[in-house]
Amino acid sequence: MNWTFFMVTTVIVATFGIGLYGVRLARTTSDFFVATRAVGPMWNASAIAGEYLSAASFLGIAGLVLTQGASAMWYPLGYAAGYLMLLLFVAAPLRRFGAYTIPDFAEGRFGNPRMRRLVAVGVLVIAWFYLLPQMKGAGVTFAVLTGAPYWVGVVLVGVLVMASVSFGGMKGVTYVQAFHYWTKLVAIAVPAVILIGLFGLDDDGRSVFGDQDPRFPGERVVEFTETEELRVDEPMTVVVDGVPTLWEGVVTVAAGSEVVFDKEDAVPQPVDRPLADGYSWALPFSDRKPLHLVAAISLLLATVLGTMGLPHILVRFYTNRDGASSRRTAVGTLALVGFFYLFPWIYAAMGRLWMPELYLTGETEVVVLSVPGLVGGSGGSFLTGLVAAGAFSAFLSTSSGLLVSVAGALSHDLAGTLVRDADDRRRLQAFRLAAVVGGLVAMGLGLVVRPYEINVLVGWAFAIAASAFCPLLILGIWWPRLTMRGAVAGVIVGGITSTTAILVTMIEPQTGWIGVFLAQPAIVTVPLAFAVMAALSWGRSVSDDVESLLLGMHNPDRMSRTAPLDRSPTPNDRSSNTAVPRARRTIG
Amino acid sequence: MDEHIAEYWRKNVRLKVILLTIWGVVSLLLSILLVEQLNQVSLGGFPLGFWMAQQGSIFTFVILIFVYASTMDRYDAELEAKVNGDRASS
Repeated sequence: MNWTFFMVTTVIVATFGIGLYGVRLARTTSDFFVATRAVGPMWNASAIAGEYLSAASFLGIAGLVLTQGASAMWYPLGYAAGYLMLLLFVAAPLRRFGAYTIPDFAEGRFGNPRMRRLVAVGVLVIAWFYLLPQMKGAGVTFAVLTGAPYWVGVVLVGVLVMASVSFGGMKGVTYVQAFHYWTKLVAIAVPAVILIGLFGLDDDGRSVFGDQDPRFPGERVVEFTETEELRVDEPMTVVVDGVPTLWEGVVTVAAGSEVVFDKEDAVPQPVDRPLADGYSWALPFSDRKPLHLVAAISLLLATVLGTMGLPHILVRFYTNRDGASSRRTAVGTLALVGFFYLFPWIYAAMGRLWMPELYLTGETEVVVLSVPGLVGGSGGSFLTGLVAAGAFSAFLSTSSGLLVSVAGALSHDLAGTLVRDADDRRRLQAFRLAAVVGGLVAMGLGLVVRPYEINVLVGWAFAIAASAFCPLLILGIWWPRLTMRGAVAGVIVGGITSTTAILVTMIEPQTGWIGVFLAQPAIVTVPLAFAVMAALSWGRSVSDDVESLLLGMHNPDRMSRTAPLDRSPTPNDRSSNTAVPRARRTIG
Repeated sequence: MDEHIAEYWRKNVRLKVILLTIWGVVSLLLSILLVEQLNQVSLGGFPLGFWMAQQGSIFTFVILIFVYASTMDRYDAELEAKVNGDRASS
């Protein structure tokens, strides 16, 4: 606890210290919003990776692998694969286009400010959705570490993020997030390596990759905080509140009971959240149900195509100097992110083998925080402090990146006409006010999402991003014939169908095929949005302007007559459709 | 100059198609559709299907992305050299 307190405080103080240092460097408004694009590829890659690795990566993956087994590996795979799509199709062209947010691109591509407002609404939905799991992670982590109520962590992280975004802007955030990446990497890697070294990956021949059902590795005392119904497949004698009791069939454990399990006892199944049996835990799809295959493919589609539509990721590529350094940044980012993903599953495997009592207490989502305690003594509490610091880095960095996008969309894109003609000082005020409003909304929503799994929430944000923005970006950049009519209809259809499906699942989950498509809508809604865009744009003539606009996006940097665009991209260029003339100039 | 740009584009698109094919094979085919068969093979204690989903494919992506970035840098430089050559001779 003392180590935890010390390390989490260190991360928070360092976050603000580095943020303030960044603010001192941020002399102009342009620095504040996009860090004047003076950020080198390695710094930028660390910052992007730091921002990308959220609560879902740090806590969620391990938690999901613990409950669902190897099939949860499709989350990190999709997160990584999405980067490749972003690089191949979006990063460099958008950098050359001069658009630094999706609303900028939408307005510039179609030359119409209404497009900006429509897309800004989508940005808000996606960013807020993605903020929910961060808030949830903060609440749960704080509760597990200190015993405080759930809302305390939500409010704490919410306030910290609002403060750092309001004062630091983008330049402050860049250095802070680079720092957060390295904190997270150390925090996940060091305890994982130590745990494997101390405990190994098998126990008396039971390997973590084996297909056995979980058993207790030694005597374990489990406190039940809530009344729980358990299914016991093998009759066994346990000690309930000091009284030896024979358990078989379905037993009810009263809240507040303390149960002692013996070594080699099979872990009972909570009736309301049954465990994956050993075989399907270790070997996904062994049940051969096409339902599960479709769900996995749909999830992969959402994460692969959704990455490019995440507002806080795309912004980062604008802080690169040119298209070529955008590409280099993407290489660095994927290498850093991929290296991080070596580690989370280790916690899940360790938890299943050495701490199966997590299945009974329902604290599977925080397995990353619990497992280091196995080491025991001050070493154990040091490692627990380390992962806690990593978890807070994850909440802080992703949330602040998202909040920058929310505040930008609110103050610049939606309220743009109000503040467009204002001076720099007024625009900063508007941005800060928007950051506070956006943060309060996220905190409010964060308080009600406790029942949902962190990774499931993140998967939904990806599904909406893939359905609403992926078709707009891909067709907008690569298909000159895409008309505004088609784009508007596609964004609306993709955004509304995916969001509706997810809201239905959140409120009243469905079963069977309908349930699969509602819970993982991307496989339907992404092709639908593409089809709507293509159908409504088909056969319409395209002006030369658009042709040359697209050419400008795809020519290599040094071919452009103008040097790398060195104009302040502050969110208040007077004509607001600045991307158009800028892109035209580059055609040469 | 136009034919240089057209050639640059052909090369760019060809590179994208090749890399995307590898990407699709690794992420969809090996990591999802063939995962059961791959799991029969063990790689230093790790089932190969599990390893493909967890690490192999991510490393493959890093390599693909690196190949793309460095090859595009080279194409950019080649195009620039050709266009400058044309300008000098005209």
